[in-house]
Parts: sequence; structure tokens; C-alpha cells
Amino acid sequence: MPLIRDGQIIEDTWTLVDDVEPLPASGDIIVSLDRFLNEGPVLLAREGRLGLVVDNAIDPDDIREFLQHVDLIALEFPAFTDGRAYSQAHQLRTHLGFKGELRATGAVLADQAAFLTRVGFDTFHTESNQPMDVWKSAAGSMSVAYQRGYGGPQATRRI
Amino acid sequence: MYRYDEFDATFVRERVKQFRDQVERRVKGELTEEQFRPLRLMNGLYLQLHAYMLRVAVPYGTLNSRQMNQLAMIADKYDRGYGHFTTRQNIQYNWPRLPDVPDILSDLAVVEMHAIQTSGNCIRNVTADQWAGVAADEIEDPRPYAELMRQWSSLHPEFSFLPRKFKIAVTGATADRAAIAYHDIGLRLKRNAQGEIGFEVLVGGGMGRTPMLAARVRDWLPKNELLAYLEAIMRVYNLHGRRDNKYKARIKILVHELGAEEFTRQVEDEYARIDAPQVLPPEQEFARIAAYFAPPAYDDMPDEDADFKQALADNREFSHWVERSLATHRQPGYAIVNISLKPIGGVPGDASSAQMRAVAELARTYSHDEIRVTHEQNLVLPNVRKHDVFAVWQALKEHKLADSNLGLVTDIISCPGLDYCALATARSIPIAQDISKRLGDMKRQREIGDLKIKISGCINACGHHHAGHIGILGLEKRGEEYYQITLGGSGDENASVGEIIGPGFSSETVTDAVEAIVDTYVAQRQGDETFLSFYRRVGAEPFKEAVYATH
Amino acid sequence: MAKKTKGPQVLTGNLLGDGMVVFLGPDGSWRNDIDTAQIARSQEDAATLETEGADAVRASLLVDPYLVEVEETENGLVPVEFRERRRISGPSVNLEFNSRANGQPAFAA
Repeated sequence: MPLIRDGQIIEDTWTLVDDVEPLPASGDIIVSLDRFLNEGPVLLAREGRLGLVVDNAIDPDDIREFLQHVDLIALEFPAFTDGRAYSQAHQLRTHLGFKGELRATGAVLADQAAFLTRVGFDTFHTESNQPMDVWKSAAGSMSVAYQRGYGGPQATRRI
Repeated sequence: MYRYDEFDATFVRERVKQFRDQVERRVKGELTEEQFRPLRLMNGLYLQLHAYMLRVAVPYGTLNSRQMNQLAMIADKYDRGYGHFTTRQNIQYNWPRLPDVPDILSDLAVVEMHAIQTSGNCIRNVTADQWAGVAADEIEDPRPYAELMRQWSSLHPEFSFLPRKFKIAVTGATADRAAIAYHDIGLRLKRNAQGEIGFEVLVGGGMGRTPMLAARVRDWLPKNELLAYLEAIMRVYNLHGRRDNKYKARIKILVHELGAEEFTRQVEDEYARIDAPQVLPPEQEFARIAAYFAPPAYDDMPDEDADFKQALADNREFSHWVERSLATHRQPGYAIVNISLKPIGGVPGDASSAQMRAVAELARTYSHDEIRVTHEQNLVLPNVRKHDVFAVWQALKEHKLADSNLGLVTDIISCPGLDYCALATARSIPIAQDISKRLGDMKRQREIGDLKIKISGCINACGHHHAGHIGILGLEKRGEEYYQITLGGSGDENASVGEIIGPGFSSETVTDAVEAIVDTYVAQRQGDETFLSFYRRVGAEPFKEAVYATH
Repeated sequence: MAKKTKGPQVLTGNLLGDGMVVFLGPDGSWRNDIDTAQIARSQEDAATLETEGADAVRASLLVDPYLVEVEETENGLVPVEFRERRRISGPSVNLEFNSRANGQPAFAA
């Protein structure tokens, strides 16, 4: 699964570690929320940055106190029609003030890139097999947007 | 009415280009149908029983003559010469070809129209009172708010992949002509004791398999807080609405399962977290939008018009039509003219391209270039001088648009049903036609009085049968269509859900049953009580007896 | 997935281009006349039809193919399910606009 940022495939410098694997000695790792809750001190003590995978039924407010320790959050799209993570991302970026990398993982389409960027996602770890030129053009296909309070490169008029 | 500026024009233009690209990729196989389906639905394109169907948005039911003419052109150029006005104030075309759709959207964009979000699990067309801005009982014009919400909801980055479709309606009058209690969010403009304008906010109404009336979530929301509060509601729904079962995915189920109190608490909690200044439009932006809805340059005239009075006296056909078709305008000397798209035996809500052009011309000449579409599948010329009403009527007659049946028993609301719709279980239009012909005699109709029959061809209830005084639901059993009858529904400010009276009827006998119901009312009513009042007083028993006893 | 049925089946779908209802013919072409459709009388034949349907989907020619059980009558093939019978008849209303004789394609590509 390629990792995409700004319409390009980039190298993934993060390692996804499952719930039972031994932790690598160094380097940036992503673990599940469960593992973090069970092994927090160990994870925080190691060298390298920490990322969390957060299931899309989790209320981001419930992880508010952990955000200061975390440099990446991966939010899940079990189907591209399941839009819960858009709201999780927005809450993380706004009243929860998360400044690290927000990664959309799973069933993520290039045609959703513009929306995903506006609610605050930086990168897409996508299982969809779409050609890269689509990722390049999709994010910029709308130069204007109506809604206030969201990010992204679009010009927002008034509302 | 609202006019696009450069920003709005850019928005629809880019959207068309985006969809054109998506269609090309689909046709080339670079997008699978599974990937393409939500994208085409967000552009209003369905695959129906026999062909594609394109649903074009008519924002809060308002359009001008240029737009209506373009809709007529599209019907002729890309379709089969007609369109269907829907129960959400939109228009549908039944025969577009996929490769033509980007061109259709392009032709719509030229006249400031689009088909964005008329389908899909996103926020749909915001509907409003069809007499907004002109009704005599209006407290505040809902249209600027409807336009504000239209813009806010268009390609919303956070709320485009909801558990299910989302429908918002707004009314600004004491009477509710927008059926707000049956919407996911219903908004009613009101004044508080200080004379300020704000909203009553209702959430969780809906039709379908499980009809429910909306719960009141806020008795008072200051008008300028609208978008921030809507955002709170949408976020709670997006995060917590059910996604495990398509038939339990509407917000009404969430409100019902949490209970109104808990649901409200969650909304208010989220609302408290929202940084409103970041989200709300500046006052000048609202003022900019509202300016488009300032009243047109009405002539300053007395309310009475001698010619109009004379025509009423001289022409009984005209006076019968006026009785049913005119509504009181807030401006003296003017009238709201309602146009029936329910000719006896016709297809409810359909209009040929010639009829569309005729209405466009009348709007341009006599109605300050404005037309409305109602959720009961009729049209409105909202700004006609009483002095011109007779000329308008004559022109309508020429185009078979002058039936005097508005609000009467043959003003039937019907979904397209199994003649068109892939979701349907039975045909609805032929039943509407049959009932219309059976009860079509004008004298009889006037004798019956106000009576709303609403027919749905399946349990999804797009014909709004739950809100019918007489509701009919078309189902199928063992290869035969059969029809269940409900009584006592209403979509107005005293909303109620219709109650089923008993076993269903075949397509051969349902019209007899409806006639028996109508005759029972006429025979037993007291004074001038309407059908609905009669039902609410006596209940279903007299009707059950009439309909089932002899079978 | 082939349903467990007793009778003969045909394969139907809608053309991607105009959404029209079509049936798979013996020569592999898609046609809008059910009477010229290829009939499957066994589970294996039905599975073959479904494979051809899947191919047409992959080729972006067709959407939503599925098997329809039919009865062979003297008036031709009649779908067993009510909804399918309505689907091949076209609308029963607006005949002056919607008549199947009016502008319907003869055979699909």
C-alpha cells in the first residue's frame, strides 16, 4: 500500500508494529491504541517517535491526554463510504489541537483527497489501486470551498 | 433570488469538470462501478429500473424563467421531452445517457443550476415553504437561510460520507408548508419576546419504513448561530449514526435509540466545543445573501382590482379555479398563483417541455420572473398582480395547466413507483390515475373539499404516504401488486403519521376502497369539517366498516 | 452467485452507457429482447453466464448483472418474478413519451 502526500508517493519512515511483535530498538513506530494503553511507559521511554492507530468508533476526546506524546495518528476507513474519521480528524485538529501527522488509512480514494486534506489529513495510506496522476489532479480539482473552519489549499469565500 | 457570483460560478464549473473526468475514467474502466457509484450519486445520477435518472436540484424550490427554459431544453435535447417535479422540490429526468451527463451538468451550470448532492449519503436539497417571501402569514423569509445552508452543505469536507441521506427543511410562517416535522432537521423561524429572530430546531423526523415526527432539540436558537449548531448536529450523527444496517441509519433512529434528551445533550456538548467565530459567516456575508431575496419592485396598488373582480363574476370556470389556486400575497394587489400539475388521469408532477416553456414565459411576463416548485409536485407563480390573473389563467388553460384541483382529492402526490424506480415494489402512478379519473368530476371534488392523497410505490415512502390524509403504500405479494391504505396523516404544523386501516387491496379494488372512504366522510361529516378533522374526531372505525364490511 | 432455482435462467444487466436493460445472447452480445437471450438450464450453464457478465462488467460495458429465472411460454420468455416482468416491459405510463418503439436501441454493441 503506497503512502501518499501531496499527490506523490513518499517513503514511509514509520513502522507499523502489531500488538504482540517486539518493539524495534529505535525508529518511529505506530502501534494500536490498545498496545499504548497496555505498554505506555515502555513505548514512551524508547527512542523514536510514537504513532497511534485509532479505530473509527473511538471518541477522540478519550485520548486527549495522550496527544502530547504522539506525533502521528492513523485514522481508519474500513470502507470509503464510512465517513466517521472525517469528524475524528476535524476534532483532533480543532478543539484537541493535535499538530502531528494525521494519516488516513484503508479504503481511501483519490476522489476524496480534497475533503480529507480539508479536515486535516496529511497523508494517505491507501489500499485503492488508483493511478498516481489521479491523486495528483484530484486534490486540486476544486479551487474553492464554502465551509469555514476547515483547512486545505482551497480559497474559502465568506461562509 | 440568489445570483451566482464568480465564486459560485467557479464552484459549479470545477465540479462539472471533476465529474466529467470521473465519467471518463469510469467509461475507460479506471473506476469500478463500486467506486463510481457514490461519486455519481453525489451528482444526482441514479441507475433506475429502465435507465439512468438525473435529479436536478431546484434550491428550496426556486427558479427563474431562464432556468425553467433550460430545463425544457435539456428535456428535449437529452431526454424524452418531459421532466418530473418531485416531493423535495427538485426535477427528475428519466432517460439521460451517462456520457451526456457532464454536458447536461454543463448546460445547467450556465444557468446557475446543478445536480450536486441530490442523492447519496450527504446533505440533500434544503427545502422550504413554497410561498417563502410572499405568504401573508410569514414571520420571516426562510430563503436567505436556505441559501446559506445550501452553500454550507455543498461538498462539505466532513459530512459527505454520512451513514445515510440527510434532509433539511425550513419554514418561516405560522403554517408549516415545508413539513419540517418529517425531516432529519426541521427549522422554524420565530420571534422571541424581545422581537428577535431565531429558530426552533427539530431533529429526527422521517418517512420510510419507520415514520417518525422530529423531536424538538432547541426551542430557541439565535439566527446567526445556525451553521455552528447544524455542524454540532451533523457531527454527532456522522460519528454515532448507525452504519451497520441501512434501514436503521437515519438520524431519526439515533434520536429514537438515545432518546431526545440524551441526543440533545450530545449535540449541546459538541456545540460547546465548536469555536463558533471560526465557523460562522460574518454578518456582511449573510446580508449579501439576504439582499438577493429583497422583494421585487412591486407596483403600489390597492388590494382590490376591478377587472379581476369582474372576471370572477362573469366567468364561473375562472372563479372556481381562483378559489383553489390563489393564495393571499403579503403585497396588496398581488396574488400567489398555484399551478396544478395533476391533470385528471395524468401523471402527477410531470410537465412536458412545452409546458415548462409556457410557465417560464408566464413567470417572465407576470411573476417578476420567479417560479416555485412545491413538495406536493405542483408549481407556483409567486408574484402575480391580481389585475393579470385572468390573462395568466387563460394562458395556463391553453397548456392544460389550469386544473382547479389544488388541495382537492385529485391533487394526488405520487412517487414514480415501479414504472421507473429500481427500489419500488409496486406501481403508484396508475393508481393515482385511476383514483383521479374515478373522483375527477369537479362538482364532486368541490363537495369533498380539502383532501390529500399520497401514494408511495414502496416502503421508502418517497410519495410521503405517511403524511397523507389518505395514504397508499404499494407492495407486492406472490407476483401481484397490493395496496395498503393509511388514514389521518398530515405534514403541516399539526403533523401526524397515518394509521393503517387493515388488509391491503388489489390494483382492481383499491380505487373502490378509496371511493368508499371518501363517500363515508361526505355522508357522515358534521358542518364544514374537513376530512382530516373528521378522521381525528371519529377515528378509523366508520371507514373500516365501509371498506371491509362488504368484502 | 447462482440462486437455487428450478427453472431456466437468463442473465440480465444494464448497459453502462444508457442504463438500458439488456440480456446476454447466445453469441455473447447484449440485446434488449429477452426472447433472444441465452438460456441456462443447469447450475454450470448459469455459472458460465455469470462469468460472461463479470467479463462485461470488467470491460466497462455492463453494470449489475444477475440471473433471472424465466418461464418458457408460447408468448416467449416470461420472468418468474413480478419485478423482472415490469423491468422488461418499460413504464406502463407516459406511453407517448416512453413507448419502447420510440428510440429504443435494437442491439447493444
